[in-house]
Amino acid sequence: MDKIIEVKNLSFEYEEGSKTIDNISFDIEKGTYTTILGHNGSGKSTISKLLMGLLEKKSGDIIVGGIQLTEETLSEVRSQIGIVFQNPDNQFIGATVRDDIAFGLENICMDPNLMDDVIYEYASKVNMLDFLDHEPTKLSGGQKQRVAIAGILAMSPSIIILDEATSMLDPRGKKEINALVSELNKNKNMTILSITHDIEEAANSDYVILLNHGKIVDHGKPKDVLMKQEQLEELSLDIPFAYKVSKGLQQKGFEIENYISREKLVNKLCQLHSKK
Amino acid sequence: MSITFKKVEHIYSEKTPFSYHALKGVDLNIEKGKMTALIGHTGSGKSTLIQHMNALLLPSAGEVHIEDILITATDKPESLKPLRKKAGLVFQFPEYQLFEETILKDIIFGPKNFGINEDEAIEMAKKVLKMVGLDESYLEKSPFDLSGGQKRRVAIAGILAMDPDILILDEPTAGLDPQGAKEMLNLFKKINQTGKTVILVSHDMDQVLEYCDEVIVMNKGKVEKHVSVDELFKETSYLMSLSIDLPIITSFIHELNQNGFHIDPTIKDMNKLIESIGGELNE
Repeated sequence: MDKIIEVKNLSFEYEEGSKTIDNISFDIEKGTYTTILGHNGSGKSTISKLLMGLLEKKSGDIIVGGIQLTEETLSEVRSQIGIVFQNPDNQFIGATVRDDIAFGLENICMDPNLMDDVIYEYASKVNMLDFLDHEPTKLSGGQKQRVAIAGILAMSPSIIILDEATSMLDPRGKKEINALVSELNKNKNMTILSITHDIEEAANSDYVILLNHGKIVDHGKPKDVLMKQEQLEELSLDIPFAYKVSKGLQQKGFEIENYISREKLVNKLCQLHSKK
Repeated sequence: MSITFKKVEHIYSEKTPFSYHALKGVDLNIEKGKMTALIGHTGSGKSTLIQHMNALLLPSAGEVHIEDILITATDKPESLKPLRKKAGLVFQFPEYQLFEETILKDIIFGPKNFGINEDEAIEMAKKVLKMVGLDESYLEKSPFDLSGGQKRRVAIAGILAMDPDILILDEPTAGLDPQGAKEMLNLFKKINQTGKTVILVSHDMDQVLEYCDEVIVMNKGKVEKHVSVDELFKETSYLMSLSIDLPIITSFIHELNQNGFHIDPTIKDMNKLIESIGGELNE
Protein backbone atom coordinates (compact mmCIF):
# COMPACT_ATOMS: atom_id res chain seq x y z
CA MET A 1 0.00 0.00 0.00
CA ASP A 2 1.35 3.37 -1.04
CA LYS A 3 0.46 5.79 1.72
CA ILE A 4 0.22 9.42 0.69
CA ILE A 5 -1.06 10.75 4.00
CA GLU A 6 -0.11 9.30 7.38
CA VAL A 7 -1.55 10.77 10.54
CA LYS A 8 -0.27 9.42 13.85
CA ASN A 9 -1.64 10.22 17.30
CA LEU A 10 -2.67 13.69 16.19
CA SER A 11 -4.17 16.04 18.77
CA PHE A 12 -5.18 19.67 18.56
CA GLU A 13 -6.97 22.10 20.84
CA TYR A 14 -8.25 25.62 20.16
CA GLU A 15 -8.59 26.17 23.90
CA GLU A 16 -6.33 24.70 26.54
CA GLY A 17 -7.83 21.50 27.91
CA SER A 18 -10.55 20.99 25.30
CA LYS A 19 -9.39 18.74 22.51
CA THR A 20 -10.93 19.41 19.11
CA ILE A 21 -8.85 16.58 17.66
CA ASP A 22 -8.18 13.85 20.16
CA ASN A 23 -5.34 11.47 19.42
CA ILE A 24 -6.38 10.28 15.96
CA SER A 25 -4.43 8.08 13.56
CA PHE A 26 -5.24 7.16 9.98
CA ASP A 27 -3.58 6.49 6.63
CA ILE A 28 -4.79 7.48 3.19
CA GLU A 29 -3.71 5.42 0.19
CA LYS A 30 -2.51 7.21 -2.91
CA GLY A 31 -5.20 7.60 -5.56
CA THR A 32 -8.15 6.81 -3.31
CA TYR A 33 -11.30 8.79 -2.69
CA THR A 34 -11.97 9.15 1.01
CA THR A 35 -14.92 10.93 2.58
CA ILE A 36 -14.90 12.27 6.12
CA LEU A 37 -18.34 12.34 7.73
CA GLY A 38 -19.36 13.86 11.03
CA HIS A 39 -21.73 16.51 12.27
CA ASN A 40 -20.80 20.19 12.56
CA GLY A 41 -18.24 20.63 15.30
CA SER A 42 -16.92 17.06 15.05
CA GLY A 43 -13.49 18.33 13.98
CA LYS A 44 -13.67 17.59 10.25
CA SER A 45 -12.50 20.97 9.02
CA THR A 46 -9.84 21.16 11.72
CA ILE A 47 -8.24 18.02 10.28
CA SER A 48 -7.98 19.58 6.84
CA LYS A 49 -6.43 22.74 8.29
CA LEU A 50 -3.92 20.67 10.25
CA LEU A 51 -2.95 18.71 7.13
CA MET A 52 -2.29 21.98 5.32
CA GLY A 53 -0.36 23.37 8.26
CA LEU A 54 -2.86 26.21 8.60
CA LEU A 55 -3.22 25.23 12.25
CA GLU A 56 -0.41 24.01 14.43
CA LYS A 57 -0.88 20.57 15.95
CA LYS A 58 -0.51 20.04 19.69
CA SER A 59 1.03 16.62 19.34
CA GLY A 60 1.41 13.76 16.89
CA ASP A 61 2.74 13.40 13.36
CA ILE A 62 1.49 14.35 9.93
CA ILE A 63 3.37 12.86 6.99
CA VAL A 64 2.35 13.87 3.47
CA GLY A 65 3.99 12.14 0.51
CA GLY A 66 6.70 10.84 2.81
CA ILE A 67 7.50 14.29 4.20
CA GLN A 68 7.00 14.97 7.88
CA LEU A 69 5.08 18.24 8.30
CA THR A 70 7.23 20.73 10.23
CA GLU A 71 7.82 24.45 10.04
CA GLU A 72 10.68 23.82 7.61
CA THR A 73 8.75 21.52 5.28
CA LEU A 74 5.54 23.55 5.31
CA SER A 75 5.75 24.81 1.74
CA GLU A 76 6.83 21.42 0.44
CA VAL A 77 3.81 19.77 2.06
CA ARG A 78 1.44 22.52 0.95
CA SER A 79 2.55 22.22 -2.67
CA GLN A 80 1.15 18.69 -2.68
CA ILE A 81 -2.27 19.64 -1.38
CA GLY A 82 -4.96 21.85 -2.85
CA ILE A 83 -7.84 22.76 -0.59
CA VAL A 84 -11.24 24.02 -1.67
CA PHE A 85 -13.21 25.67 1.11
CA GLN A 86 -16.93 25.90 1.51
CA ASN A 87 -17.14 29.64 1.03
CA PRO A 88 -15.33 30.75 -2.14
CA ASP A 89 -15.53 34.44 -1.22
CA ASN A 90 -12.65 33.98 1.15
CA GLN A 91 -10.27 32.60 -1.46
CA PHE A 92 -10.20 35.17 -4.26
CA ILE A 93 -7.17 37.29 -5.03
CA GLY A 94 -7.15 38.23 -8.72
CA ALA A 95 -9.14 41.07 -10.28
CA THR A 96 -10.39 38.79 -13.04
CA VAL A 97 -10.99 35.07 -13.23
CA ARG A 98 -7.89 34.78 -15.44
CA ASP A 99 -5.73 36.65 -12.90
CA ASP A 100 -7.07 34.59 -10.09
CA ILE A 101 -6.10 31.30 -11.71
CA ALA A 102 -2.77 32.84 -12.75
CA PHE A 103 -1.94 33.90 -9.19
CA GLY A 104 -1.28 30.37 -8.04
CA LEU A 105 0.68 29.55 -11.17
CA GLU A 106 2.91 32.60 -10.66
CA ASN A 107 3.55 31.44 -7.13
CA ILE A 108 4.87 28.11 -8.35
CA CYS A 109 6.98 30.00 -10.94
CA MET A 110 5.34 28.58 -14.04
CA ASP A 111 6.76 29.71 -17.38
CA PRO A 112 4.41 32.57 -18.42
CA ASN A 113 4.31 31.16 -21.97
CA LEU A 114 2.69 27.99 -20.70
CA MET A 115 0.34 29.74 -18.35
CA ASP A 116 -2.35 30.72 -20.84
CA ASP A 117 -2.88 27.14 -21.96
CA VAL A 118 -3.13 25.88 -18.41
CA ILE A 119 -5.61 28.62 -17.51
CA TYR A 120 -7.72 27.74 -20.57
CA GLU A 121 -7.59 24.04 -19.83
CA TYR A 122 -8.89 24.33 -16.28
CA ALA A 123 -11.30 27.20 -16.87
CA SER A 124 -12.90 25.06 -19.56
CA LYS A 125 -12.92 22.00 -17.28
CA VAL A 126 -15.09 23.82 -14.77
CA ASN A 127 -17.13 25.43 -17.54
CA MET A 128 -15.97 28.99 -16.88
CA LEU A 129 -14.14 29.72 -20.13
CA ASP A 130 -16.61 32.47 -21.04
CA PHE A 131 -15.91 34.27 -17.79
CA LEU A 132 -12.11 34.60 -17.93
CA ASP A 133 -12.24 38.39 -18.01
CA HIS A 134 -15.00 38.76 -15.44
CA GLU A 135 -14.49 39.98 -11.91
CA PRO A 136 -14.68 37.03 -9.49
CA THR A 137 -16.60 39.07 -6.91
CA LYS A 138 -19.42 39.63 -9.39
CA LEU A 139 -19.96 35.95 -10.11
CA SER A 140 -22.66 33.87 -8.47
CA GLY A 141 -21.72 31.56 -5.61
CA GLY A 142 -21.58 28.48 -7.79
CA GLN A 143 -19.48 30.19 -10.44
CA LYS A 144 -17.07 31.47 -7.80
CA GLN A 145 -16.56 28.00 -6.44
CA ARG A 146 -15.86 26.68 -9.91
CA VAL A 147 -13.15 29.32 -10.37
CA ALA A 148 -11.64 28.44 -7.00
CA ILE A 149 -11.51 24.79 -8.00
CA ALA A 150 -9.96 25.65 -11.37
CA GLY A 151 -7.26 27.66 -9.59
CA ILE A 152 -6.36 24.73 -7.41
CA LEU A 153 -6.47 22.14 -10.18
CA ALA A 154 -4.18 24.29 -12.29
CA MET A 155 -1.47 23.84 -9.65
CA SER A 156 -1.73 20.06 -10.15
CA PRO A 157 -1.44 19.03 -6.54
CA SER A 158 -1.43 15.28 -5.86
CA ILE A 159 -4.06 15.60 -3.12
CA ILE A 160 -7.24 17.64 -3.23
CA ILE A 161 -9.14 18.33 -0.04
CA LEU A 162 -12.73 19.40 -0.55
CA ASP A 163 -14.07 21.03 2.59
CA GLU A 164 -17.81 20.92 1.86
CA ALA A 165 -16.81 22.49 -1.42
CA THR A 166 -20.03 21.79 -3.27
CA SER A 167 -22.46 22.58 -0.49
CA MET A 168 -23.18 26.04 -1.89
CA LEU A 169 -23.49 24.97 -5.53
CA ASP A 170 -26.70 24.39 -7.36
CA PRO A 171 -27.37 20.84 -8.61
CA ARG A 172 -25.86 21.53 -12.01
CA GLY A 173 -22.69 22.99 -10.49
CA LYS A 174 -22.55 20.18 -7.97
CA LYS A 175 -22.74 17.54 -10.69
CA GLU A 176 -20.07 19.23 -12.78
CA ILE A 177 -17.69 19.49 -9.85
CA ASN A 178 -18.38 15.94 -8.69
CA ALA A 179 -17.79 14.64 -12.20
CA LEU A 180 -14.58 16.66 -12.47
CA VAL A 181 -13.29 15.48 -9.11
CA SER A 182 -14.04 11.85 -9.85
CA GLU A 183 -12.35 12.16 -13.25
CA LEU A 184 -9.23 13.58 -11.57
CA ASN A 185 -9.38 10.73 -9.10
CA LYS A 186 -9.79 7.98 -11.69
CA ASN A 187 -7.77 9.26 -14.64
CA LYS A 188 -5.10 11.36 -13.01
CA ASN A 189 -4.75 9.21 -9.91
CA MET A 190 -5.30 12.18 -7.65
CA THR A 191 -6.01 11.47 -4.01
CA ILE A 192 -9.29 13.00 -2.89
CA LEU A 193 -10.23 13.76 0.68
CA SER A 194 -13.76 15.07 0.81
CA ILE A 195 -15.30 16.52 3.95
CA THR A 196 -18.99 16.22 3.36
CA HIS A 197 -22.45 15.75 4.78
CA ASP A 198 -23.55 13.91 1.68
CA ILE A 199 -24.08 10.30 2.66
CA GLU A 200 -24.69 9.34 -0.98
CA GLU A 201 -21.28 10.73 -1.95
CA ALA A 202 -19.76 8.72 0.88
CA ALA A 203 -21.56 5.58 -0.34
CA ASN A 204 -19.78 5.95 -3.68
CA SER A 205 -16.31 6.68 -2.29
CA ASP A 206 -13.48 4.19 -1.61
CA TYR A 207 -13.16 4.80 2.12
CA VAL A 208 -15.18 6.53 4.81
CA ILE A 209 -13.90 8.06 8.04
CA LEU A 210 -16.52 8.76 10.71
CA LEU A 211 -15.59 11.50 13.12
CA ASN A 212 -17.24 12.46 16.41
CA HIS A 213 -15.96 14.82 19.11
CA GLY A 214 -12.53 14.84 17.53
CA LYS A 215 -12.17 11.05 17.55
CA ILE A 216 -12.35 8.53 14.74
CA VAL A 217 -15.36 6.33 15.37
CA ASP A 218 -14.98 4.17 12.28
CA HIS A 219 -12.79 3.97 9.18
CA GLY A 220 -13.30 1.53 6.36
CA LYS A 221 -15.03 0.74 3.09
CA PRO A 222 -18.50 2.28 2.69
CA LYS A 223 -20.19 -1.13 2.76
CA ASP A 224 -18.66 -1.78 6.17
CA VAL A 225 -19.12 1.66 7.72
CA LEU A 226 -22.41 2.84 6.23
CA MET A 227 -24.45 -0.24 7.05
CA LYS A 228 -24.12 0.32 10.79
CA GLN A 229 -27.42 2.09 11.18
CA GLU A 230 -27.31 2.57 14.94
CA GLN A 231 -23.87 4.08 14.83
CA LEU A 232 -24.89 6.52 12.09
CA GLU A 233 -28.03 7.50 13.99
CA GLU A 234 -26.06 8.06 17.18
CA LEU A 235 -23.89 10.50 15.27
CA SER A 236 -26.98 12.25 13.81
CA LEU A 237 -25.93 11.23 10.30
CA ASP A 238 -28.23 10.24 7.48
CA ILE A 239 -28.74 6.61 6.57
CA PRO A 240 -28.04 5.81 2.89
CA PHE A 241 -31.33 5.76 0.99
CA ALA A 242 -30.70 2.34 -0.60
CA TYR A 243 -29.99 0.85 2.81
CA LYS A 244 -33.31 2.14 4.19
CA VAL A 245 -35.19 0.65 1.23
CA SER A 246 -33.44 -2.73 1.40
CA LYS A 247 -34.00 -2.95 5.18
CA GLY A 248 -37.67 -2.06 4.71
CA LEU A 249 -38.12 -4.76 2.08
CA GLN A 250 -36.42 -7.33 4.33
CA GLN A 251 -38.92 -6.49 7.06
CA LYS A 252 -41.70 -7.22 4.58
CA GLY A 253 -40.21 -10.66 4.10
CA PHE A 254 -38.26 -10.16 0.90
CA GLU A 255 -34.98 -11.93 0.59
CA ILE A 256 -32.75 -9.14 -0.49
CA GLU A 257 -29.30 -8.22 0.76
CA ASN A 258 -28.35 -4.82 2.16
CA TYR A 259 -27.43 -2.17 -0.37
CA ILE A 260 -25.88 1.24 0.02
CA SER A 261 -25.64 2.00 -3.70
CA ARG A 262 -28.92 3.14 -5.21
CA GLU A 263 -27.85 2.05 -8.68
CA LYS A 264 -27.18 -1.51 -7.55
CA LEU A 265 -30.46 -1.67 -5.64
CA VAL A 266 -32.42 -0.46 -8.68
CA ASN A 267 -30.73 -3.15 -10.80
CA LYS A 268 -31.57 -5.84 -8.25
CA LEU A 269 -35.21 -4.77 -7.92
CA CYS A 270 -35.65 -4.63 -11.68
CA GLN A 271 -34.15 -8.09 -11.98
CA LEU A 272 -36.62 -9.44 -9.37
CA HIS A 273 -39.48 -7.62 -11.10
CA SER A 274 -38.71 -9.03 -14.53
CA LYS A 275 -38.47 -12.58 -13.13
CA LYS A 276 -42.01 -12.63 -11.79
CA MET B 1 -52.79 37.64 -1.15
CA SER B 2 -49.71 38.14 0.90
CA ILE B 3 -47.34 39.02 -1.93
CA THR B 4 -48.22 40.09 -5.46
CA PHE B 5 -45.88 40.92 -8.33
CA LYS B 6 -47.31 42.54 -11.47
CA LYS B 7 -45.15 42.65 -14.60
CA VAL B 8 -42.04 43.26 -12.53
CA GLU B 9 -38.80 43.98 -14.37
CA HIS B 10 -35.44 44.42 -12.79
CA ILE B 11 -32.39 45.65 -14.65
CA TYR B 12 -29.12 46.03 -12.77
CA SER B 13 -26.93 49.02 -13.76
CA GLU B 14 -29.48 50.11 -16.35
CA LYS B 15 -28.19 52.22 -19.24
CA THR B 16 -24.59 51.25 -18.62
CA PRO B 17 -22.45 48.73 -20.49
CA PHE B 18 -22.87 46.42 -17.46
CA SER B 19 -26.64 46.42 -17.63
CA TYR B 20 -28.14 43.05 -16.68
CA HIS B 21 -31.79 42.14 -17.08
CA ALA B 22 -32.41 39.97 -14.01
CA LEU B 23 -36.22 39.87 -13.80
CA LYS B 24 -38.37 39.78 -16.92
CA GLY B 25 -42.08 40.40 -16.58
CA VAL B 26 -42.61 38.58 -13.31
CA ASP B 27 -46.24 37.99 -12.32
CA LEU B 28 -46.71 36.24 -9.02
CA ASN B 29 -49.27 35.70 -6.27
CA ILE B 30 -48.17 34.13 -3.03
CA GLU B 31 -50.97 33.27 -0.66
CA LYS B 32 -50.85 34.15 2.99
CA GLY B 33 -49.86 31.31 5.32
CA LYS B 34 -48.29 29.09 2.65
CA MET B 35 -44.83 27.66 2.78
CA THR B 36 -43.46 28.27 -0.70
CA ALA B 37 -40.18 27.09 -2.17
CA LEU B 38 -38.34 29.23 -4.67
CA ILE B 39 -36.14 27.11 -6.92
CA GLY B 40 -34.10 27.53 -10.06
CA HIS B 41 -30.41 27.32 -10.71
CA THR B 42 -27.74 29.86 -10.00
CA GLY B 43 -28.34 33.09 -11.87
CA SER B 44 -32.04 32.44 -12.48
CA GLY B 45 -33.13 35.53 -10.52
CA LYS B 46 -34.15 34.02 -7.17
CA SER B 47 -32.11 36.39 -5.02
CA THR B 48 -33.17 39.42 -7.06
CA LEU B 49 -36.79 38.39 -6.65
CA ILE B 50 -36.69 38.06 -2.87
CA GLN B 51 -34.89 41.35 -2.44
CA HIS B 52 -37.94 43.04 -3.96
CA MET B 53 -40.06 41.58 -1.18
CA ASN B 54 -38.69 44.01 1.38
CA ALA B 55 -37.66 46.77 -0.99
CA LEU B 56 -33.94 46.19 -0.80
CA LEU B 57 -34.32 46.41 -4.56
CA LEU B 58 -36.95 48.44 -6.32
CA PRO B 59 -38.49 47.20 -9.56
CA SER B 60 -37.28 48.88 -12.77
CA ALA B 61 -40.89 48.57 -13.93
CA GLY B 62 -44.07 46.96 -12.64
CA GLU B 63 -45.64 46.70 -9.18
CA VAL B 64 -44.86 44.78 -6.03
CA HIS B 65 -47.56 44.52 -3.36
CA ILE B 66 -46.57 43.28 0.06
CA GLU B 67 -49.94 42.93 1.75
CA ASP B 68 -51.22 46.54 1.69
CA ILE B 69 -47.92 48.18 0.80
CA LEU B 70 -47.18 49.11 -2.80
CA ILE B 71 -43.69 49.34 -4.25
CA THR B 72 -43.02 50.56 -7.79
CA ALA B 73 -40.04 52.06 -9.59
CA THR B 74 -41.07 55.57 -8.61
CA ASP B 75 -43.30 55.00 -5.58
CA LYS B 76 -41.03 53.87 -2.87
CA PRO B 77 -43.07 53.63 0.33
CA GLU B 78 -42.52 56.77 2.38
CA SER B 79 -41.13 54.85 5.21
CA LEU B 80 -39.62 51.43 4.76
CA LYS B 81 -39.98 50.55 8.42
CA PRO B 82 -43.50 49.07 8.26
CA LEU B 83 -42.47 46.99 5.24
CA ARG B 84 -39.24 45.77 6.77
CA LYS B 85 -41.17 44.80 9.89
CA LYS B 86 -43.70 42.90 7.79
CA ALA B 87 -41.21 41.00 5.67
CA GLY B 88 -38.11 39.61 7.36
CA LEU B 89 -35.36 38.58 4.98
CA VAL B 90 -32.67 36.14 6.09
CA PHE B 91 -29.72 36.18 3.71
CA GLN B 92 -27.41 33.31 2.90
CA PHE B 93 -24.92 32.83 5.70
CA PRO B 94 -26.66 35.30 8.01
CA GLU B 95 -24.10 34.50 10.70
CA TYR B 96 -21.71 36.88 8.93
CA GLN B 97 -24.00 39.73 9.90
CA LEU B 98 -23.72 39.28 13.65
CA PHE B 99 -21.92 42.24 15.16
CA GLU B 100 -22.85 42.91 18.77
CA GLU B 101 -20.93 42.07 21.94
CA THR B 102 -23.60 39.79 23.31
CA ILE B 103 -26.27 37.66 21.75
CA LEU B 104 -28.93 39.61 23.64
CA LYS B 105 -27.75 42.92 22.18
CA ASP B 106 -27.62 41.41 18.72
CA ILE B 107 -31.17 40.11 18.87
CA ILE B 108 -32.73 43.27 20.33
CA PHE B 109 -30.98 45.56 17.85
CA GLY B 110 -33.74 45.07 15.25
CA PRO B 111 -36.78 45.43 17.53
CA LYS B 112 -35.26 48.52 19.21
CA ASN B 113 -34.84 50.10 15.79
CA PHE B 114 -38.54 49.57 15.26
CA GLY B 115 -39.24 51.56 18.42
CA ILE B 116 -39.99 48.69 20.79
CA ASN B 117 -38.88 49.50 24.34
CA GLU B 118 -35.94 47.63 25.75
CA ASP B 119 -37.84 45.50 28.28
CA GLU B 120 -40.23 44.21 25.66
CA ALA B 121 -37.35 43.60 23.28
CA ILE B 122 -35.54 41.57 25.93
CA GLU B 123 -38.65 39.46 26.54
CA MET B 124 -38.89 38.94 22.79
CA ALA B 125 -35.21 37.96 22.63
CA LYS B 126 -35.75 35.27 25.27
CA LYS B 127 -38.75 33.94 23.38
CA VAL B 128 -37.09 33.77 19.96
CA LEU B 129 -33.87 32.33 21.32
CA LYS B 130 -35.92 29.46 22.72
CA MET B 131 -37.66 29.09 19.38
CA VAL B 132 -34.33 28.57 17.61
CA GLY B 133 -33.34 25.97 20.19
CA LEU B 134 -30.92 27.90 22.41
CA ASP B 135 -31.51 28.50 26.13
CA GLU B 136 -31.31 31.77 28.04
CA SER B 137 -27.78 31.10 29.20
CA TYR B 138 -26.68 32.16 25.72
CA LEU B 139 -28.03 35.71 26.08
CA GLU B 140 -24.90 37.11 27.66
CA LYS B 141 -22.44 35.16 25.52
CA SER B 142 -20.59 36.67 22.60
CA PRO B 143 -22.05 35.52 19.28
CA PHE B 144 -18.51 35.02 18.02
CA ASP B 145 -17.83 32.21 20.48
CA LEU B 146 -20.51 30.01 18.96
CA SER B 147 -20.24 27.30 16.33
CA GLY B 148 -21.35 28.09 12.77
CA GLY B 149 -24.75 26.44 13.20
CA GLN B 150 -25.42 28.20 16.51
CA LYS B 151 -24.42 31.57 15.02
CA ARG B 152 -26.91 31.03 12.26
CA ARG B 153 -29.65 30.32 14.81
CA VAL B 154 -28.85 33.57 16.60
CA ALA B 155 -28.95 35.51 13.32
CA ILE B 156 -32.33 34.01 12.49
CA ALA B 157 -33.54 34.80 16.02
CA GLY B 158 -32.64 38.43 15.29
CA ILE B 159 -35.09 38.43 12.37
CA LEU B 160 -37.78 36.53 14.28
CA ALA B 161 -37.54 39.11 17.07
CA MET B 162 -39.12 41.62 14.70
CA ASP B 163 -42.09 39.28 14.48
CA PRO B 164 -42.49 39.52 10.69
CA ASP B 165 -45.64 38.24 8.97
CA ILE B 166 -43.56 37.04 6.05
CA LEU B 167 -40.30 35.21 6.56
CA ILE B 168 -38.02 34.96 3.53
CA LEU B 169 -35.04 32.64 3.77
CA ASP B 170 -32.23 32.41 1.25
CA GLU B 171 -30.79 28.90 1.48
CA PRO B 172 -31.01 28.79 5.26
CA THR B 173 -29.58 25.30 5.65
CA ALA B 174 -26.52 25.63 3.40
CA GLY B 175 -23.52 24.24 5.22
CA LEU B 176 -25.44 22.76 8.13
CA ASP B 177 -25.16 19.08 8.91
CA PRO B 178 -28.22 16.94 8.14
CA GLN B 179 -29.42 17.01 11.75
CA GLY B 180 -28.97 20.80 11.99
CA ALA B 181 -30.77 21.29 8.68
CA LYS B 182 -33.70 19.16 9.85
CA GLU B 183 -34.04 21.12 13.09
CA MET B 184 -33.90 24.41 11.19
CA LEU B 185 -36.61 23.33 8.73
CA ASN B 186 -38.81 22.03 11.52
CA LEU B 187 -38.48 25.46 13.10
CA PHE B 188 -39.63 27.19 9.89
CA LYS B 189 -42.50 24.74 9.54
CA LYS B 190 -43.56 25.54 13.10
CA ILE B 191 -43.39 29.26 12.37
CA ASN B 192 -45.41 28.65 9.21
CA GLN B 193 -48.05 26.78 11.21
CA THR B 194 -48.61 29.87 13.36
CA GLY B 195 -50.04 31.48 10.21
CA LYS B 196 -46.95 33.19 8.86
CA THR B 197 -46.01 33.13 5.20
CA VAL B 198 -42.66 31.43 4.62
CA ILE B 199 -40.63 31.65 1.43
CA LEU B 200 -37.67 29.36 1.17
CA VAL B 201 -34.97 29.57 -1.48
CA SER B 202 -33.53 26.10 -1.78
CA HIS B 203 -31.50 23.86 -4.03
CA ASP B 204 -32.40 20.83 -1.96
CA MET B 205 -35.39 19.17 -3.54
CA ASP B 206 -35.73 16.72 -0.66
CA GLN B 207 -36.43 19.70 1.59
CA VAL B 208 -38.88 21.15 -0.91
CA LEU B 209 -40.76 17.84 -1.14
CA GLU B 210 -40.92 17.29 2.59
CA TYR B 211 -41.64 20.79 3.90
CA CYS B 212 -43.22 23.04 1.29
CA ASP B 213 -46.76 23.45 -0.06
CA GLU B 214 -45.99 25.22 -3.31
CA VAL B 215 -43.05 25.77 -5.60
CA ILE B 216 -42.06 28.68 -7.79
CA VAL B 217 -39.60 27.77 -10.54
CA MET B 218 -37.43 30.61 -11.79
CA ASN B 219 -35.58 30.33 -15.09
CA LYS B 220 -33.68 33.08 -16.87
CA GLY B 221 -35.36 35.84 -14.92
CA LYS B 222 -38.89 34.54 -15.41
CA VAL B 223 -41.34 32.64 -13.26
CA GLU B 224 -41.79 29.48 -15.29
CA LYS B 225 -44.07 27.62 -12.95
CA HIS B 226 -45.96 28.18 -9.74
CA VAL B 227 -47.56 24.89 -8.75
CA SER B 228 -48.10 22.55 -5.83
CA VAL B 229 -45.15 20.41 -4.79
CA ASP B 230 -46.92 17.21 -5.89
CA GLU B 231 -47.57 18.57 -9.34
CA LEU B 232 -44.03 19.76 -9.83
CA PHE B 233 -42.31 16.50 -9.08
CA LYS B 234 -44.57 14.60 -11.48
CA GLU B 235 -42.90 16.52 -14.29
CA THR B 236 -39.63 14.67 -14.23
CA SER B 237 -38.55 15.47 -17.76
CA TYR B 238 -39.24 19.19 -17.30
CA LEU B 239 -37.13 19.26 -14.13
CA MET B 240 -34.34 17.33 -15.77
CA SER B 241 -34.33 19.78 -18.67
CA LEU B 242 -33.67 22.54 -16.12
CA SER B 243 -30.98 20.43 -14.43
CA ILE B 244 -33.02 20.45 -11.25
CA ASP B 245 -32.44 17.32 -9.23
CA LEU B 246 -35.41 15.23 -8.28
CA PRO B 247 -35.87 14.47 -4.61
CA ILE B 248 -34.04 11.24 -3.87
CA ILE B 249 -37.27 9.24 -3.38
CA THR B 250 -38.85 10.65 -6.56
CA SER B 251 -35.73 9.93 -8.56
CA PHE B 252 -35.63 6.37 -7.22
CA ILE B 253 -39.28 5.82 -8.22
CA HIS B 254 -38.55 7.31 -11.64
CA GLU B 255 -35.67 4.87 -12.18
CA LEU B 256 -37.83 1.91 -11.18
CA ASN B 257 -40.74 3.06 -13.33
CA GLN B 258 -38.47 3.36 -16.34
CA ASN B 259 -37.72 -0.32 -15.86
CA GLY B 260 -41.22 -1.72 -15.70
CA PHE B 261 -42.52 -0.69 -12.28
CA HIS B 262 -45.71 1.38 -11.92
CA ILE B 263 -45.20 3.23 -8.66
CA ASP B 264 -47.06 6.46 -7.86
CA PRO B 265 -44.46 9.19 -8.47
CA THR B 266 -45.95 11.48 -5.80
CA ILE B 267 -45.09 9.16 -2.91
CA LYS B 268 -43.15 11.08 -0.26
CA ASP B 269 -43.00 8.52 2.45
CA MET B 270 -40.54 5.63 2.83
CA ASN B 271 -43.14 3.19 4.21
CA LYS B 272 -45.48 3.79 1.30
CA LEU B 273 -42.61 3.36 -1.12
CA ILE B 274 -41.64 0.02 0.39
CA GLU B 275 -45.27 -1.13 0.35
CA SER B 276 -45.58 -0.20 -3.32
CA ILE B 277 -42.37 -1.96 -4.31
CA GLY B 278 -43.39 -4.98 -2.24
CA GLY B 279 -46.84 -4.96 -3.83
CA GLU B 280 -45.43 -5.00 -7.34
CA LEU B 281 -42.90 -7.72 -6.59
CA ASN B 282 -45.68 -9.88 -5.11
CA GLU B 283 -48.19 -9.38 -7.90
